[in-house]
Amino acid sequence: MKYRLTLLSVMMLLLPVSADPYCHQDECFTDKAELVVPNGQIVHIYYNSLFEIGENWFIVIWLENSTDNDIDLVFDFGGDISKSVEIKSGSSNYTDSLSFSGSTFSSERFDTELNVSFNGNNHIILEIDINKKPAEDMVYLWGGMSVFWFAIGAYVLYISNKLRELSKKVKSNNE
Amino acid sequence: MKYFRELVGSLGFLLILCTIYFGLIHVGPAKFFTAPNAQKLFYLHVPSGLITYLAFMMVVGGSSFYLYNKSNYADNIAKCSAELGLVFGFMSLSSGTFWMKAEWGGDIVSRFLTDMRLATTLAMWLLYIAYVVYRRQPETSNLKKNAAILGLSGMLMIPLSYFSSRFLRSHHPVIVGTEDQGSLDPSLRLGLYMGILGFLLLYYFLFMLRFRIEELEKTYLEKRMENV
Repeated sequence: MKYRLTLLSVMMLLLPVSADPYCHQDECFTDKAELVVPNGQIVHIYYNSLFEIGENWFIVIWLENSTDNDIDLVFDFGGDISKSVEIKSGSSNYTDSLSFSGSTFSSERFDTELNVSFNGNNHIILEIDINKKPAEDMVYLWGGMSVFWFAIGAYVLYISNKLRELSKKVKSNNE
Repeated sequence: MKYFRELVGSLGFLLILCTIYFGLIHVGPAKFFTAPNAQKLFYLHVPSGLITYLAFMMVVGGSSFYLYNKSNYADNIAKCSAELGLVFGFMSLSSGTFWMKAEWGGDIVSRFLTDMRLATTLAMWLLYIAYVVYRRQPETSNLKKNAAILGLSGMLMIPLSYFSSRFLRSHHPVIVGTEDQGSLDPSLRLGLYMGILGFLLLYYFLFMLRFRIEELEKTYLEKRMENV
């Protein structure tokens, strides 16, 4: 029992902390944006400017005070990649989140624009870098390639040294 | 032509660079492989493996001629080619090990002990290490004869290694000389043939250079003996 508890504690400490979908603290996300909606209300948007392909990408929306009208927020990457969140009127201290699947993108794209619009009117643009992690087998590819060049290089060095030394010997012998 | 050897070497080197460009960039990630990036080692692994067989066959040929008519020329061919066989064999074995680890996973040592293609190829390579080490002694006719006998053992080791994946227990794929060769993707085939030609030219260049060194060394030793 004691062993299991210790193991569980160690695992909890070691497991990577993923972004909590409802956390709207600055330490949970690297970036923050604000969208002003009517009545001077501000919708806070928390996000990471780095989208890792293969990992779900979260956005957290937080509205501190209640609204008089419904708010329809649309997050649009373009090319039919969009999602929306509806904030009902009267919602106070409203928190919601949405996510884009890790397979939304397949290749790297830097400074990709994410258009966040409110009821189709006001909008802000967030710049997102879409990153593709290097494949795990790349290290084996470069290992194999390096060994190949090392073998050719070492052998050429060996025979050229041998040829130079021999040429010197032959020259001195002739003299 | 004065610089024929250098020209062949440069052309071989250029072809290898083209093969690497072709394999790494032009073709794109391989399909149907667990490790699609490590699969690119195919373009170096297969040609270097084939050149290893060629080099060791030259040792067998040279050794046979030496035993038949005591030709020093044939003995030199065997000696120089054995060294090159070790270099190309090292390339083939190491690139194969990296690729195997990425594609098949598991323990490398147990793979070498249980897969007959890997085991016999390593045994062949170790045999010729013994040959090269043995030849580092001062040359006598007795040493040459013993070395030629050792070199001739490749007559058994080369076919054993080459055909082991066909007839013995092995995971190693068989492409050359089978129906799979015809069904190879044309882009893959082009890279493979370019690699083989590149490695062949590089082998020729290195062999001629090594042969020249051997001849120079013998001439030097003969002159030195005359002076003494």
